Amino acid sequence: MHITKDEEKILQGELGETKRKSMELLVALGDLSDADRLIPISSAQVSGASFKTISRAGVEFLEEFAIDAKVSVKTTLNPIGMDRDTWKELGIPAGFAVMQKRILDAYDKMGIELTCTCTPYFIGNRPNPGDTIAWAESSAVVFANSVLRARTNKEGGPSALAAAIIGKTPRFGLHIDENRRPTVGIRIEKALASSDYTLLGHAIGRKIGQDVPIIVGIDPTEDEHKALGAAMAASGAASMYLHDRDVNACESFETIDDVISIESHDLNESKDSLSTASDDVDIIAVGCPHLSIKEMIDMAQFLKNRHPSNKCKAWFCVSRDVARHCPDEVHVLKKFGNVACDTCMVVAPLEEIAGTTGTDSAKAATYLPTLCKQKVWFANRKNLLELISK
Amino acid sequence: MKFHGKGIGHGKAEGEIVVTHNPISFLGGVDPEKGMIIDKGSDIFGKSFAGKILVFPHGKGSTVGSYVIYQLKKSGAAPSGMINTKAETIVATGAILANIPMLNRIPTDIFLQGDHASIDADNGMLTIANITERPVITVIMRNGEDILLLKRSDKVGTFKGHWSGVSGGISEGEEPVDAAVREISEETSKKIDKSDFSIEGRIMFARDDTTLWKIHPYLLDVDDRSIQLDWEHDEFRWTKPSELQNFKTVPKLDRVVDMLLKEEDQPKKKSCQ
Repeated sequence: MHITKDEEKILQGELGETKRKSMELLVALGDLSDADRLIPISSAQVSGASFKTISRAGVEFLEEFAIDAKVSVKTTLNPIGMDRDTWKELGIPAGFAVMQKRILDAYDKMGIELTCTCTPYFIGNRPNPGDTIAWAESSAVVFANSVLRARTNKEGGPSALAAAIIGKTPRFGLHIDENRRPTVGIRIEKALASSDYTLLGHAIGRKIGQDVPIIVGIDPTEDEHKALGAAMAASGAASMYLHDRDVNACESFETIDDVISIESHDLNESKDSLSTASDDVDIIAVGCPHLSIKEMIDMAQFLKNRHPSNKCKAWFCVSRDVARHCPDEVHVLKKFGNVACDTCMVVAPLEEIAGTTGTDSAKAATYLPTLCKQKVWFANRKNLLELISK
Repeated sequence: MKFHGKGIGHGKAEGEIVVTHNPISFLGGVDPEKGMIIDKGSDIFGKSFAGKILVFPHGKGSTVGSYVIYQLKKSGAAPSGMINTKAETIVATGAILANIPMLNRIPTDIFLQGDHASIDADNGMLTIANITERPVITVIMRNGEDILLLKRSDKVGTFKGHWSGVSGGISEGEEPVDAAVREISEETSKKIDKSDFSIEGRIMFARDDTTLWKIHPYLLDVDDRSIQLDWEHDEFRWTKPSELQNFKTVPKLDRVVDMLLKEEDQPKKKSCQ
């Protein structure tokens, strides 16, 4: 990889140990992927924020790193393992909260915005088409590449952090035009309901490996895109897709040899593989990825003239900023469960709280059995809301 | 004996080699306080690597593994250096976060447990103490589906009584392919041309005490099974590759055969000439 004189100085430690280490990491990872050089980024999204996912080892690293680390571009943070304010109400153990706060303090010291969400694009970290960014969090990576048409590889927590500090990322993978062209076609034969998009993402992710798919026969809303991309990245290795509305999408589709059809039975297969329990759940959880304002409004609308059934707990997972923008909806939802800001069912220690979870997210349903030891009832959002209300 | 790899991170390390041929998941697969392999499926289960140079093909598992490598360092239980064949981001990231010098693109096969080695990540250099490299060729001769095995006689210097392919040392200044043609002539009395080989395989290594055999493998298809042995062998047999396990062979013969037959399935690309 080509290194400029200024980059070489950083690598030699002339600007301090933290920058040296960050540069060394970018160069090493660039070399592993045959990158040719480093390119400037306009924003970063850092993962590895929940104590549950990074454990004591991660806390120790971040605290030492934070002593003289400062990010040089707009940098937002992934969800953490609890709601900063209401963690006791959620049933988070006190010992967990202590470690979680140490992580937040470390990121705060580095100058990272404590957004604590997987949907930074809803709350002010929304790159423009063509922007080069370094984002971790697979669902946000797919959204940024596919919907916002910014450019990012799927970064890890440390590489996104190093990129945020240096303000650059190695140029390889999806930063290069050629690698953003579709390599497999997906034809959707079924008219999709909104709740089908997460299953569609799951079905596609399972089939395509690291290909860039072009999907024809869909016209998703932004929330449907969010569900589609998150599930695709969870069941497979996808980092972007193209679809009907992309320029020349249909022309590109004609030139692809490898076309897969997705039909009703594919979605049913996905659904069956994700559901391991009946509706006799301890908790229902929505908001993976975090809820949008529109989703908050839709749910509040559905629930406002109903009453709590008290059959199980409920978590509405959302970024603090989005919740702040819809106080009336938060008021309604709170009657039926917890509006869990900053966190979600996957990165919180849900195993301390529940054994069976109902969710409408194929991404959450993919991770809940392993990361949270949950049995899963996979259902659409309406079914989930009907369970907690009457 | 010196080898070139690709340095990751910076610095130097020297010490005892702990080598595994299994990928390592640092999250769950090692004890972060003791610096010990706790993955029961590993060929070095229970072995400590603290302060030693840890050699493994590559990392696997959770990305939290990077932080575990850092934690090993904080506990004083980290390896002093790491060597990978095909590094991926988890281990490379961990090596850099923890300031552990690392080398990539080094085959694990060149090491024996307990070797003494030093690595220099800045220059991508590995030195293993007290071993000698001996370049050799091995030709797997095939007729139909059967391959030729030769039993080494009592008069040869190494691996007496072991079964092998046509094999022998490459002389100073000799091209491997010329050595292969020469050995075939000497050991089987068959005259061939160097363009006759069906496959020239990629180089493999086998360790035997202080000798590192650098094996250049070839596959040669022949029309007839007539063989005239010289003094180096006292028996030959045509056999199915699947029968190889029933023979006492020279090191790595099964893997040489396996690799050659697999490469044959790949799109044809002759690397000679």
